[in-house]
Amino acid sequence: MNKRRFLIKLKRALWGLGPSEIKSRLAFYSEMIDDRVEEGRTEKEAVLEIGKPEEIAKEIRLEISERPKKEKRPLGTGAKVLILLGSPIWLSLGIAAAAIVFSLAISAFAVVFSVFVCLLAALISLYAVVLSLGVSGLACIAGGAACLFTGRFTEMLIVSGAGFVLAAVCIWLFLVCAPIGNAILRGIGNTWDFAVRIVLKRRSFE
Amino acid sequence: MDIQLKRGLLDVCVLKAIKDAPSYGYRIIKDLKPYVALSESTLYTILKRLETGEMLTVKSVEHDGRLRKYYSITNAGVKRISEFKEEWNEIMSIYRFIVKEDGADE
Repeated sequence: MNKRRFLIKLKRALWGLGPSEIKSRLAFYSEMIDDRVEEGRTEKEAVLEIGKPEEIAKEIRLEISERPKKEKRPLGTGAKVLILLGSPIWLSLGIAAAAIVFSLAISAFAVVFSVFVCLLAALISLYAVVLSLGVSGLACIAGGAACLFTGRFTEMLIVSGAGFVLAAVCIWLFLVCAPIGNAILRGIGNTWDFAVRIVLKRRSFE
Repeated sequence: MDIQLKRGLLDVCVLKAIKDAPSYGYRIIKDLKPYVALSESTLYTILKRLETGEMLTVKSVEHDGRLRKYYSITNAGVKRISEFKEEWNEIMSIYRFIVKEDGADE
């Protein structure tokens, strides 16, 4: 194994460590090989002396895992004083940021909620129109029937005809509106589910 | 050997190897060979630790068309060696005590 091959293998075996850590290790071993070659050894002999890349990598990983963890340094007095002195600034900024986030959340909720309400209102008014058409149609038919008793045939024909037309329009509109209404209700339900899922997911992350 | 003790010993060995003049990795290993077998990865760790502890400084010097890192001892490093010698006096007196105890038992 020559030097190039050794370094490639070592680099591969060190996979997962920090880039600067790997770079520094490789430079170190490269120099070690070069210095041995300078002494008169071949690259192959130098590499053989240093050892197998896999075993070296194992040693390096072991040693990194044994490295004492960096202690968290407590804040110095100077830093504490700065934090304290700056409190009027960062405190008010923090409150402002919180207020902005809160108001954004509220307005987002308001927008979604108002869309829901608008859709529902449109749906309700649509059904109200359909219903009123039906009711007035029925009333007209009843009126026509009443005319029958008073013997006014012309009025009866006109009124009951209008009643049938109204009733027909009502049925037709109902048939047209039913899928629209269903679609709107389903849309609201889906949006609600989606919002709930997002909120729940957030929670589970925390 | 106790890992903590060995670590301290090797640190001082490497400091001693660069005390009189700056040296480089392979030469440190060669100079220490008669006394202690030092693997490359162990040496790397020691050098890093000493550098972090500001007991030595590192300088890349161009040599034969490539870079070679030279390690120079700092005042703190020199101080560490003399501290070690003092510590060792203590350890030696403890050692003599332990050996004497063994001898008295027999």
